[in-house]
Amino acid sequence: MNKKYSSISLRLENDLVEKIEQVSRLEDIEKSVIYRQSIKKGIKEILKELAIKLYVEEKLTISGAARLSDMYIGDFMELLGKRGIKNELPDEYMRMADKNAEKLFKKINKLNSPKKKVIYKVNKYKK
Amino acid sequence: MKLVISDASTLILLTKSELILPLLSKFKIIIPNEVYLEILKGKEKGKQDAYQIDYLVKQNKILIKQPKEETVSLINNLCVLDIGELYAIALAKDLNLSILIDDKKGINTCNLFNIYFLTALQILKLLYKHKFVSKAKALNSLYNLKKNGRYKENEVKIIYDFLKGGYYE
Repeated sequence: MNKKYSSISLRLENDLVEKIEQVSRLEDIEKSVIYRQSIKKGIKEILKELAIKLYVEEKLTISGAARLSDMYIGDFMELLGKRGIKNELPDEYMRMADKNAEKLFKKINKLNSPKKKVIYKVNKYKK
Repeated sequence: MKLVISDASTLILLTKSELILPLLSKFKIIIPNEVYLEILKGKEKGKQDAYQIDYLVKQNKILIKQPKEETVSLINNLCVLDIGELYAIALAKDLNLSILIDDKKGINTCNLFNIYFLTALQILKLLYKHKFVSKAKALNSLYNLKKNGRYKENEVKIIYDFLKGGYYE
């Protein structure tokens, strides 16, 4: 599928332009390609950082933050772990979840418990 | 077989911690299509846990169901959630089932609508308590949950002490 492109003009610091020209020479790639690649990589990082920030501020859920950063939820959770960002669930929530879990598993135990043996008394008549 | 709803993050956590199969021996998990699509994103990126979940969906161990649109709208009007959590919570409300969820905003919403919630830590504790996993396996799962679930130290310590003091070798 062909990508659509837009033209923009922007002012860049001279040392940044020099670095891009250097990469272009060394890699023998057009300067415009290097500019595009740099912006693409940069925006990915910016979105990642923004997603983490909004997750920590509780403005996004974990899947919302993963979506914003264009990451798989599992990878985003790993990233949060590497940054030492904890899942700050209040203790009260954990106690509530404990109670809910007990109730849920109680039902399972009831389902799995062996049925009571029904003993039929048979009247024995003497012949 | 008892039914329970799950959102994507807890489903991934349980899979990474090798708790999904013991859980599925006693429960059927239901997810909305929106959660399934989040999982499939991991498959595109070659993630092993996503492949395992997709396999379980294809084996009908994990079922896909949709909530009513009016329930989705009701929750969406009151709470700001991402689409995955939104549909999973709406499904739990519609079917009157408990939900496996670790996200704080999601749990706030569950409280608002009186929906029973559990995190992956409770699942580990109870699978061990009811002898569905051994002590060695439970300790290994706890290590993985600590790493990926990012639970607070005191919560992990409570479960660790419980496993260490437990009876099921």
